[in-house]
Amino acid sequence: MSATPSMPAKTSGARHGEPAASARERLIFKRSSPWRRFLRNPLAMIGAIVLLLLILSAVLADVLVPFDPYKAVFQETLQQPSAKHLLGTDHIGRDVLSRMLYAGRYSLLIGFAVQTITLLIGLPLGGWAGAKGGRTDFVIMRLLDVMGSFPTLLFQLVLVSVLSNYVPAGVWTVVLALSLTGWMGITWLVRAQVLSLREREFIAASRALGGSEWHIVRQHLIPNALGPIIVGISFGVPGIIGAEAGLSFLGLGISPPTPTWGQMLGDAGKYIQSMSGWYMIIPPAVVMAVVLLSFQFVGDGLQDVFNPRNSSR
Amino acid sequence: MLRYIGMRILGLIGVVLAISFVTFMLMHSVPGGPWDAGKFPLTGTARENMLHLYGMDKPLIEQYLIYMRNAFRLDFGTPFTAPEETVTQVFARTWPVSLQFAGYTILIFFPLGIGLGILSAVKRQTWIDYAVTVLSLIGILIPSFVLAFAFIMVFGVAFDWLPILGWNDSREWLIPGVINKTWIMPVAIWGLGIMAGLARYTRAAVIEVMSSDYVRTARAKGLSERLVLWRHIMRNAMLPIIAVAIPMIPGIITGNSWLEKIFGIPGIGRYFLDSVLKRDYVMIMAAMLTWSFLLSLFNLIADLMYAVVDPRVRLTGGQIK
Repeated sequence: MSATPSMPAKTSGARHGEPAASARERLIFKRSSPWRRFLRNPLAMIGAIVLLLLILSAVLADVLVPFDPYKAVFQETLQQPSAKHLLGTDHIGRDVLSRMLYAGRYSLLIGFAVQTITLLIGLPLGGWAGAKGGRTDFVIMRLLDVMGSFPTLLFQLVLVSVLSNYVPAGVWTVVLALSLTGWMGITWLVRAQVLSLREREFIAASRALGGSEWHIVRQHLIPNALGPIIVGISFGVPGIIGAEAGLSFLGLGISPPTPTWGQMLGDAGKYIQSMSGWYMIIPPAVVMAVVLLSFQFVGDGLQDVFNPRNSSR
Repeated sequence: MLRYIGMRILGLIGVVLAISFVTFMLMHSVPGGPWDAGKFPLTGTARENMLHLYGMDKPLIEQYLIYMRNAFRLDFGTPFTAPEETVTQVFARTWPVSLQFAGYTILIFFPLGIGLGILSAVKRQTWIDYAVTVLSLIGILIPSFVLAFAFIMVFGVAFDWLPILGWNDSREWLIPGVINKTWIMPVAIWGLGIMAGLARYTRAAVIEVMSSDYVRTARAKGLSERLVLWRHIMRNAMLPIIAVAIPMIPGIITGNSWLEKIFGIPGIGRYFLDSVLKRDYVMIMAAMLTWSFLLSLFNLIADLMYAVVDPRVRLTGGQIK
């Protein structure tokens, strides 16, 4: 619902359907291939470029960092930005820019790791529930009901604190906690996709023409279900990044000294009253806002590409 | 209908039992306890006496059953980390603060969110629509603690209009007895996120109804735009909006740990954060039980309201969801 007026909503779209595109819109879309539409969408392209830069900076963080992000220099604490420290130093004299770059790496790593794990749970489970139906579906759906009734934040906090006894502390406790509380949405989505596709005429036609189950899954089910799932991922990763930042901000996410944006904000919060810490607050806050918006724009663009109603296929 | 309600209540009890069981077992799967030799130097017999006093020498299942029996009578025990109060007393002290915070947020920003959503759907593709869209993108995407810092830097520090700490501060009345300055920033920040979600959802729901055949028919009959909007569009769009808005309430009335921490609001969200940091599992169990009960309860209320409003659900016994 950002750039393209024909898209009313991100998540509700799947459940409530979009208003029919006007005749003119449909004509335009017919002439262009789906991916072209993505390239022509300025917001989606800006978002994609920002995310590419982010991935690049995360991969090259070791080369790019001007200072060791873990090294505290107590002679240089709380310095304003300067030629030496472009974004200043934090309360124990670590270079803020270096920590920002490393934090980006951890945020992305967590976002994609959690999304991968939830997909590994959600794809087979949702597909199984949708394809099997009956009692299997009933049991899986009740499991989702129970999981969905856990108060999310509390459950995440409990999981982090319990898991830290079993998993080496650090990134993986958070990844596991976020995965265990976050796999229900994608399972729902996959099940709904399979359920609705199963009843469609072209699947019945393929079956009538003697198509094997495998042929149907490969030729019809996967290509048709892929779009909504990819869109789901592009909206899922920023949600995970935000959740991790929220946990770290509260002091229950990634344990220090590993830098994350949420934790840097939490640390900087102590200096906000005097405004002296503005240079510690602005970088993580602005970068986080820009990254989350970029994911949203890319997701909107992808939804345009994959939305079957607009698709030229 | 009665059968449907009965089934749903059974389901609610099942969900709460399942969640309490999982949480109880999770918390007790953690090695170590409050009377470990390292933390609390006690001799063998003294330690056993303490374990016996707290019923921790019994099998886990029995401990769980005893816990649930007490919880049913609203006796959640005594927090390990603050034994001068029972959990129920902690609730009574901190929850009203969070309820007040949540109440203002809901009362102001629920109507605002739904209203803006309707407005932007009706004025589709005008500057109003784009403004609402941008506002809701910001509200949905930017975490509240990031927004809080932006607000504090601008309104709290740079302009120095609003206090950045505290709640119900007697020196900060804007209108005595009506509006306290300490409320404005937390409520506005939390409300922005809630309003954004609701506006976005309402807009989609209204637009969807607007493109349906019966709305076209109503217009073709020559009904006035006003009549079409309120009698045909809003009546039908309210259903999905109710289904989304009501289940949001339990998540709000149980406090906001981030904003309560940032603004130093002595509410229940902040208290539970401290409990988790100290691993006070008596508090955590109580919170889990209460929160999940509220969550299931409001889901049930939403579905029942849906059934009351939508005749299709009433007649088929909840087949349509």
